[in-house]
Amino acid sequence: MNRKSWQRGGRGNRGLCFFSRLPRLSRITLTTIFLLMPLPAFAAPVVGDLSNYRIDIDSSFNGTRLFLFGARNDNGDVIAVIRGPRKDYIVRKKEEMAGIWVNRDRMRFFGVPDFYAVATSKSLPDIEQTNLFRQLGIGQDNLLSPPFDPKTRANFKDFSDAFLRYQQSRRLYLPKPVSIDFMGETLFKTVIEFPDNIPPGEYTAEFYLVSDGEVVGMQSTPVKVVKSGIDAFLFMYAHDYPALYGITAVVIALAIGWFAGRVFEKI
Amino acid sequence: MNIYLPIAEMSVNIFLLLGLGVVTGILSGLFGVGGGFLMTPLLIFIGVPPAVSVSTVGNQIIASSVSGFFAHWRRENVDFKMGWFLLGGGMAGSTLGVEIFRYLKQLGYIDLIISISYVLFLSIVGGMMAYESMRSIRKIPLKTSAQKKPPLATRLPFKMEFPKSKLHISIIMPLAIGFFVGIMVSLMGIGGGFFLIPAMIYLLGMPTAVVIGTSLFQIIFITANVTFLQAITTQTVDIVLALMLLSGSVIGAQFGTKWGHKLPADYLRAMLAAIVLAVAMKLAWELFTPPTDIYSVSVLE
Repeated sequence: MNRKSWQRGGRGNRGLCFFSRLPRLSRITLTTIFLLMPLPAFAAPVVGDLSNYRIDIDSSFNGTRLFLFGARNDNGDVIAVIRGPRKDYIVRKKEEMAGIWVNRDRMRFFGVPDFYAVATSKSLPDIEQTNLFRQLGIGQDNLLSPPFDPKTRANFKDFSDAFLRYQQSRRLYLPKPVSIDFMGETLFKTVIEFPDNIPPGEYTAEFYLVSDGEVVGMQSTPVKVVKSGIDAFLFMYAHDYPALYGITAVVIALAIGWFAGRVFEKI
Repeated sequence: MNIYLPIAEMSVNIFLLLGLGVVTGILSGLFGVGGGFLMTPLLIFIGVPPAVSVSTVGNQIIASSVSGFFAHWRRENVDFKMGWFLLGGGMAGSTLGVEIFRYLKQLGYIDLIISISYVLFLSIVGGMMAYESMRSIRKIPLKTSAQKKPPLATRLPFKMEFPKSKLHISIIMPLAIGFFVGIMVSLMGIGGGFFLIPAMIYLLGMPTAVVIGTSLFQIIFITANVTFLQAITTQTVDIVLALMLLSGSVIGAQFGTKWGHKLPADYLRAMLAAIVLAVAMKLAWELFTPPTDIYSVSVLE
């Protein structure tokens, strides 16, 4: 298990190594028990955890769901954010040239997560937002930063909308935040869906407690999405040993073609 | 039932892929073409990234060309000497083509260039085939100009004897044709038999009997080169996808060959021409009508 996950979340759980080895169900029960215990004065305003710290993509992978749960120890709205690996993107705009639609204008976005999901206890526009929301990248509208060049800055909205639309069409961004359900005043839970085309890499699950326009508490837990089995091997092989991979691809195709030829000959 | 494609990074229905393989296999059995011209647009249509489609179909064509090549070799219908010259040009052309592919991908023009090349060449080849097969169905003899000795190939310097094809022509022609086809193979994700066969008949004046075997001979090496180079430069060859398509096309080719013997050749060519023109028109339509989204997104390398 990932011990890092506790380092920033840090409440009373630190050092409980046996905890990680328990089956998931008892882990959840134990967490609940810990959370229900009388809290010491230095309690974090918000604590959260996940049903899984690792998602394996194998050849039968058909998407999955993560169960997020936790507790708030203060008043405020809870926001959970799941962020995928960061990538640089280019958005291009087509224009008509001599009857043909050709890419012309472009805008680059750097360090944007390839997967992004938000869950909130209240609809996002109803939560009073601070400048910190933009810096922390909470909410899709705060994810992309406009270019410095004032000339291209005017087109920012069109291009960023196009990017969000694209990611939503790939199901990698949710069209609107999932709702967080409360069980009583402190305990909350939600479920995030991961489609079959999620990119592998380092993800983070972040929990924020927001009150009166202030972020009063936060916790971040890493989640790994890894290819496993034969697919992981092939992906690694293709990227780390491209020449060998290319030769393998060619040899396999030659062998099958030759074999098929021999079979046809007999028929 | 879905299967996850490790390079395309998506999950696709296994039977859809096998079905695509079967359909293109039937085509290659019926008409003696690789079917890449149909497979690549279809893969793009079901959501496989264009770059992965082009590279992977190239890999699949190796297999279908090899099995076809052996059949022609046994009947001694391969002009190896001509094949080596076509191959020399083809290797240079496909290597340059992969570089062009990468450059255009960076500029964001690759999808446009792929579409334009498809529309252009499919309509030319399809149109020629339709014209020729209609004439032959209606029993109108072809103009003799096509059967006449090719003037350019005999006029250029560096002439050489090609005993198998009974030709004495300049080696510049097969080198140039191979070069051009090589570029097309890496840009369009096709075997190139489409351009190669008419070019060998009309520009080189080779006898029809050795044309298919010889073109398959060079296509094996060209597609192998393209697969290898794409694996190195763009890492877009998906072995799992290629295996799925292959399994389907091996089965489809059996049916295609069987049916092919029952249908008259003229009608087969007319049918192929109709399919080729339909694909060309579909792609042209997309090029000239306003796209549903004028914005497109890609990852910066």
